[in-house]
Amino acid sequence: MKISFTVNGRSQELEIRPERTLLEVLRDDLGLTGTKHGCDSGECGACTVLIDGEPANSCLVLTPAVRGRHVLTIEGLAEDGKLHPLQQAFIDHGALQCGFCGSGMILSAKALLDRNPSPSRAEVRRGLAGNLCRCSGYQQIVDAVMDAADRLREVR
Amino acid sequence: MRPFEYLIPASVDEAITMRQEHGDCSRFIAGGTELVVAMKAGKLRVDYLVELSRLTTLRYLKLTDGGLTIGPLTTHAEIARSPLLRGPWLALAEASASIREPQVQNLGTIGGNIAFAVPSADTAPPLLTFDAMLALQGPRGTRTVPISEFFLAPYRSVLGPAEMLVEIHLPGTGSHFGSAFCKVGRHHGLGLSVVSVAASLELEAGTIVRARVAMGVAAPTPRRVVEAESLLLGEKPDSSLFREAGRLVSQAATPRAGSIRGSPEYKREVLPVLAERALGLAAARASAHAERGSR
Amino acid sequence: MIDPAIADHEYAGQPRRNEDTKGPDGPAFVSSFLRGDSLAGLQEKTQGIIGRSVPRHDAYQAVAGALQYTEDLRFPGMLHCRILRARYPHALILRVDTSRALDVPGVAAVITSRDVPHNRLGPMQQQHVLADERVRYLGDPVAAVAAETPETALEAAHLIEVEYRELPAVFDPEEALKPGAPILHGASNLFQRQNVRHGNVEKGFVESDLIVEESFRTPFLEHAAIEPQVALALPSGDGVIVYSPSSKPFSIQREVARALAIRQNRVRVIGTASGGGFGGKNEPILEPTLAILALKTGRPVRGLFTREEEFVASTVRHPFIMNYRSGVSRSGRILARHIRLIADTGAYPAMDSKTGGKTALVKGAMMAAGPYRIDNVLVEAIAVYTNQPVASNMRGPGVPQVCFACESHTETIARRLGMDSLEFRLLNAYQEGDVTPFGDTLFSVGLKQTMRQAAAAFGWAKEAGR
Repeated sequence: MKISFTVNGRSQELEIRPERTLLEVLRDDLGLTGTKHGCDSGECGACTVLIDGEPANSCLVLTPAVRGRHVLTIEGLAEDGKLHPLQQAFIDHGALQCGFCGSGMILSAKALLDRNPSPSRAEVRRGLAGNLCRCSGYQQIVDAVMDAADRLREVR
Repeated sequence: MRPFEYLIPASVDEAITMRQEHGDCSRFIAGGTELVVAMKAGKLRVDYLVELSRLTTLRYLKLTDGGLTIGPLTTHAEIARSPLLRGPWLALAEASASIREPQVQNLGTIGGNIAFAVPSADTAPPLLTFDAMLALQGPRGTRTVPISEFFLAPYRSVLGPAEMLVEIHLPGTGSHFGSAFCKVGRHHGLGLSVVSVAASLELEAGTIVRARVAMGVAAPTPRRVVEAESLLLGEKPDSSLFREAGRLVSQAATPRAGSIRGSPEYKREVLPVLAERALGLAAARASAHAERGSR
Repeated sequence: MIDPAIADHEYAGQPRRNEDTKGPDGPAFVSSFLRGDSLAGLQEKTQGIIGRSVPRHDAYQAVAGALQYTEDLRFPGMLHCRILRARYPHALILRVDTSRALDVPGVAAVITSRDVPHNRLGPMQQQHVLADERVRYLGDPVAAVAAETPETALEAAHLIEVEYRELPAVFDPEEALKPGAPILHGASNLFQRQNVRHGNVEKGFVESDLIVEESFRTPFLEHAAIEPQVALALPSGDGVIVYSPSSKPFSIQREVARALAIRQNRVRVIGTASGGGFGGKNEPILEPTLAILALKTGRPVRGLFTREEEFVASTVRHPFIMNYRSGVSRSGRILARHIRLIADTGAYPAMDSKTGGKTALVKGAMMAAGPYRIDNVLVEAIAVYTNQPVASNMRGPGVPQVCFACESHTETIARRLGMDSLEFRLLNAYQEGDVTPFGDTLFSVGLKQTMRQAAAAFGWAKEAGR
């Protein structure tokens, strides 16, 4: 099937088999390996991308389902090499250890802050509940998101 | 995954025709949160998928004649956030909000939750307590089925071949109506349900004139507990009454052994607590609802 | 090669600490090390880094999604490997027929034990790359397929015909020691014994005013790193390059070379970024199989576990059965402690490079009595084979299990004595210079201070209404 959609602001038109998930197409066809493959069942969130601004498990999305939509992956977050405040905050707070959950975590956090610019810590945890981290215990991740929320509010 | 063809209908009628054409090797797909997982695991063999997610006419929450109608493609995220579900039907919003992953809330739909007939479907117990009516459409036309008659067995419902859930209707309520949904989940009350209870109560002059109690993941299908409901009818809300109702809920449970999520003993132990909690909340909300005066 | 130092061990305790057998003064020791020229040199080297927050060197890549993990590596002509695993938890393999698998379009190679030059792994040389005559747990690898896609490889794996003769299986370590239990290796299912002896527990019990006995069990734990087991091998010159996130690349190099019966200098291991190990990415679970497939096909081969394989076929934390018997005085002093530990080590000795999976029991036995001054301690610990997944290292092997048991036991004792359990712990806790039941002298002991500060921080006194 011919599927057209936008990835990180760029139009893509691909000829793909419908049974291929968005995760496979992003990683294997478009070389965007920042989105990770963790569990294949929508439980870990490592494959999270934003579809029209909303987080989704790309391992569960069949590629035809995103025709005409805007997909944002971790590679699309920085602009002209300048990191998004969330990415900078993750660095500053040491929020990533092995880093494997990072892409999904940062994108879910972005969607959360876009919807709720002043979350409480509990709201941050609730917004990231679909992203599992086995290394960190989440504390520095929440610190980073709260800090990024401050920075983003200053900019607005 | 095994290769399949992906069909895109422009309307409900066309979707049904496509299913009819391809019979047993075809399935409807909405959010895919159940279907894609099952297909990846090799548990389902599908040759044709009929996409529903772009049929935007099926995605709505509307007040009508004092009741509420919900389109099957409404997502859990939309249900969790809807201002229309802050009043009598709050239990439904609580159920959708109890799905741990925002990602799955965004993709998953109430129609899929019901139609797939998963024993742990969270929206089922609340809908059972609302006496929801399900509109089904198929090659032979439309019919309406009360939700209490919809589920037959795990992953089996009354849906016929090529038949689709097209609307969920919640009847209007009296002015002193409250509901609640309580569950045990593995992540601070979120996530795949271990066991759940939904309750709705209607009060008149401080007395229960209508009671519904339903349990989830405690039997082969989500179901009401009529014995508890009879106990509550005509009584005044009271914690020892709710505790007794909870005991009846636990007695009515037939959970299966061998589930990795929770043993039957654990479920029977926890059900009375969930039931008492849900009934207490429903009663409090029914009174508060009355105080707000509107409906 | 089997390490002859891994024999049955017994640690004998040393005399209880008294003033004239004081251990080294920790802080003084450290500062004397730093005294003189070496201190200036050290300061120069660290250039004021100590005390500053320094971002990790790959932080930018990590947040930008640019860090390359093993599954992110692509090579032209790369094949995918899927493994066929045992159908039964315990069975003899009578016959393996791969012909139907080889016929599937897109399959480049199918291997069995016959294709493995040296089919033994690990310091104990008891696990195989691919099972030859017997499978001992459901995750046991029997054959491997390399194909154009993982789906093709899986489809082909399902077409491999294996004829088994099912054997009785045992899933509990206490059952595994009973007469008549199915035997997994050698003459008995006893894999390891580890004792700790200090003083005389019988004497201690006689002197006790109260004896408390309890049993505890802990289950398997799976590391469940977000990145599953993964590796990649490609032929290179007369050898092979292996990309692996393993925490022990030299061990991987040694095992791959030995399994392939080639010189170690023909195996190059490149350590890739790990998406989480926690002790579960130490062992040559995939690398030897992939190396053989790479040499056979002449192409790069990647292997990746499914989430289900992680639970069935990767290593786990040892389940422990723990029996605690403590004798205490009326005033709350622990006078004697007798502990029995039974660890379920699963179907094989682990392939962990140094100890072959013995660490958990050793550490568990050492720490079992808790951080307390006890004159009479006896720990009798054994590890036993069962037809369960192989147990190996996971964050502090052996210690979380015994810590759970010991501290739960502490609460019970305190309750029976009518004592606050914090006070009970403070009364018995290690102090500076104490000698442990297994003979180590402790210095830099901050245990009591820490407990007091922690208790104040979380409002212990208020919580319990004390």
